[in-house]
Amino acid sequence: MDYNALEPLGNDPNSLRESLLKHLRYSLGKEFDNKTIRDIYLALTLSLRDRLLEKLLETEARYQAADAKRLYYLSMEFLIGRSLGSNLTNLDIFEACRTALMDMGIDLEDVREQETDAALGNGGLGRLAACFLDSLATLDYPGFGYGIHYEYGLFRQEIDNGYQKEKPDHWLSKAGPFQIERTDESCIIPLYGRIEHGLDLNGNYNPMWMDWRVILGVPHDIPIVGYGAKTVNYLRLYAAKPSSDFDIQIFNAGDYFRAVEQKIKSETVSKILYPSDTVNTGKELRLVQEYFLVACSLKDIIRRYLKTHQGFDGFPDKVNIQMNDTHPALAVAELMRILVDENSMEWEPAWNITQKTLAYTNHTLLSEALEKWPVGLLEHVLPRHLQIIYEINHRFLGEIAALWPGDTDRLARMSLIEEGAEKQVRMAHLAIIGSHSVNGVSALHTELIKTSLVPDFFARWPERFNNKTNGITQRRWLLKSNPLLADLLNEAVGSEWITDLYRLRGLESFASDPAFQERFRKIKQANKEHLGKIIYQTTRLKINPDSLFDIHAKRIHEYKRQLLNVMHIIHEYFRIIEDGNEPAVPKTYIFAGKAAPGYWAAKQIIKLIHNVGDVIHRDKRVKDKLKVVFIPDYRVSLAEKIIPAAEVSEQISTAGTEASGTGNMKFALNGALTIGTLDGANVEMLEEVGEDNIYIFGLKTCEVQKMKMDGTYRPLDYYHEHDSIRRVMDAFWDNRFCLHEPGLFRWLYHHILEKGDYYFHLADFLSYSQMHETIYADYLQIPVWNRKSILNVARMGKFSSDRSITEYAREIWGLTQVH
Amino acid sequence: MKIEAEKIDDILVLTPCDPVIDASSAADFKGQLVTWIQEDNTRILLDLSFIEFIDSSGLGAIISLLKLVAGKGDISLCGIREQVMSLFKLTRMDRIFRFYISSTEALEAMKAGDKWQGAGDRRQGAGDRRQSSREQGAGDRRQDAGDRRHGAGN
Repeated sequence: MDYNALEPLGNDPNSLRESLLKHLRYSLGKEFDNKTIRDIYLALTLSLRDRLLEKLLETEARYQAADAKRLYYLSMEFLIGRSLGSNLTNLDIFEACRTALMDMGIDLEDVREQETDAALGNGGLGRLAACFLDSLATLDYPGFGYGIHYEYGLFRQEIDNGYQKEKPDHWLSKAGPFQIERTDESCIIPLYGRIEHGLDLNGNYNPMWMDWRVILGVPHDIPIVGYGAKTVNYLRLYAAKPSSDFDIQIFNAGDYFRAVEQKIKSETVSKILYPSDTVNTGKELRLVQEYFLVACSLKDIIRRYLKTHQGFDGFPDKVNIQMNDTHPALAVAELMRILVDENSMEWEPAWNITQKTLAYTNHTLLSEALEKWPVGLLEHVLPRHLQIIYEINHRFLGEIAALWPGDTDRLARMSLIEEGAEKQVRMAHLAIIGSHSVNGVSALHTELIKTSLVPDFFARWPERFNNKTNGITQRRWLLKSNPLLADLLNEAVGSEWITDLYRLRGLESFASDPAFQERFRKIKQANKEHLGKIIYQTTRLKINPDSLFDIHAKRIHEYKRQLLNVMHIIHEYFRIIEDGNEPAVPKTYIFAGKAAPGYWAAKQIIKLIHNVGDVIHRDKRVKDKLKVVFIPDYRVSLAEKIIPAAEVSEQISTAGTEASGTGNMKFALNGALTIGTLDGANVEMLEEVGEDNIYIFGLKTCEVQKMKMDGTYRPLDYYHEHDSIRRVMDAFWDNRFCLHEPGLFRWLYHHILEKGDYYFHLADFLSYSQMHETIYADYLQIPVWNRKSILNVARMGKFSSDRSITEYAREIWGLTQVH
Repeated sequence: MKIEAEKIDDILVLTPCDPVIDASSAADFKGQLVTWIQEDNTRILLDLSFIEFIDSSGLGAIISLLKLVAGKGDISLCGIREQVMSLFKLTRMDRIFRFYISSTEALEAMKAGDKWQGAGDRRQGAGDRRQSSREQGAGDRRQDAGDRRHGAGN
């Protein structure tokens, strides 16, 4: 008898209902009459999990039969948000489930609202990783995510008197049962200790890593189903546990509390996700987290590989590892350690395997955001790895010295070790040296990596550098989040766009069709009304759904220039109350985003947005023509409601600072028109949608760079020469928006006028304001606006993560689809 | 910790009977072995076939024993399970001991006094002699053919 051959699970409403009722009774121990909506959510999730696991096992068997090469995506963040809706969509049982529940008198939407967001990421980098997993599974690629099973996700944002307050997000306490704990595949991870220098039996130098402590990495697998449910891959997240429940020695010594303390210390490793902008502060726990991810992942990857292969010569032919930013860059040293120390391989072949296996994606152009670790800290936490890093550096610098004799400046620039009062290890250099591919995430970003960020490395290995423009999965960001529009698109061009976004090009022929435009507009209107209700529920602010929705939703950071947006709103406010220039159609400016807890300036900007809103809303002269809203606690599930309602999308970072952006793509795919700088992927969006369908303003990257280099940017000149700028800046000085807290925003006045305005707010202010005027004029011409909006949807094909993943698979990973 | 001891010719075979050597037992383990060594037992075969896990303090104890007999005798190891061997490799301690699959094989080799070409020890010691001041020994080319049970030898 074949014990593996079980009857396949049914996906019709009756089978789903039967599964749900069985789980309600036998997994949760509840009678239907005593159920809560939470019970239904759990029972439904368990029913889906059965189906996901069935497919996961089938998929694994397919991969094994093909001896398929596998891709492992290492990332400190996977911002997956909610899973129930996307699993229903990708399993293609959304409607069957809705019907099954409806028959029992239950609304699927109420059930979906029971799910908490898995906020295991900060923003773009983590969400990109989640979109990539969706595309890998949809395209039938053997690609798997490896990350950390944080107990607390990114903090929950609450607003108190305009100030951001951070609350812990204990998502696990509310998480559904999609994840499976695999204690049998736990691994032991050593940390700390010292090197004991000695000789081996042959008389060779033999450094021994002694006196380490160990923690246990316990994997939790989340099934990732591709659209159509042929392939189910997994996202493996590791939780840190003590190697035994208590430290026995301490416990035996009678110190129960210290033993418990040690246990808690081990578990701390996977306790919290570090908010961005705090990861480079040299925190030991963050370094331990990064190593924990790398060590657990590599142990598992190698264990899987050795199950069916002998030796490591063929390792890069069967395994590729993508490092999502430098956070997993210790993989370079760890893989070398495993090959050389644990498998007695010589340095050169081990290095060859390491380079062929690893690839690195850079995500930032802000040099201050490039990770560095103090040598002393690295030696304390990972003494053997520091030795290996020194050896890599020695060999690498020898090579560079041979290629550029006498160029000591170049050696200093390229070294893995940054000299200074405190020596530091440059993790980006480690990642570049140890990889066969280094990619940027938009065409502009990649060019800037080559020419500005690491030109010396580009000179050494030009073939190693390549671009992979980011993308988003249309399954989550349109099919699931904007069902009304998805239905219209299906009707107009068929449903192939769900797996081939270029098919939306077919919409172009409808762009000027009045009947189609009207249906398109009504959907936008319905989405705006829905968002209006959410805004009222969360902020008690009533907004006019007929107003223009201008949305700026993303992490709060100076380079993303939420401040420029606020300055323009202030300018519009003054135009109404001082210049008598009343807009014909009211406008609602909507903000959402979290500031890192320790990022004072970003948190001040949140306060400024609230204060400006308060002043404007109280001023009767505005007559509700202008509203400013800040929706708290921006997260994936909220983004799914905000984005479909947007009419204008703010993508206004200083040129040369945003690597790509993916919010820009999500908004445009849902029909919002972009006002943006020529930064990140905006440049390629302009190419795709055409200059008539996007509002580009401001300085170009080269202009910003030149002004910085020449020292020709003088904010005070702008202040003196332009009344509109002076009026806004003076408002910061004279407490116009902080009457109850005088002086609160004067720092902005100093920051911009006296300290150089690092992000060029004033330089771009006038062209930004003028572009808003153009937008407004276009918005009043409804058919013109609708046409532009439809063309944006039609021309977003390039920005599917399916296209990104196909490029990665072909050009970096050498991965083959396993159908 | 219970340790069984058996003297076979000039070789003392010591077999720890508990499954774990960790911080709670390493001192006792080391203390007992030091006593035997001080009683003039300088040829030791440590049979670790009962051991399922050994932590860094256990490994540290074994190293200190090696130092104690240095120049006077030798310590060999046998019966090591995969999990335990992986910890020897992690620390690179696998490079300072001779390992044998079984005590019989070990005793034969030790009695023959042949450290490098013994029947049980099929290691080839013609390793890389490079000595780097930074990461010396990283290029060691041993081929652990005799250690194939532990998945090494690549």
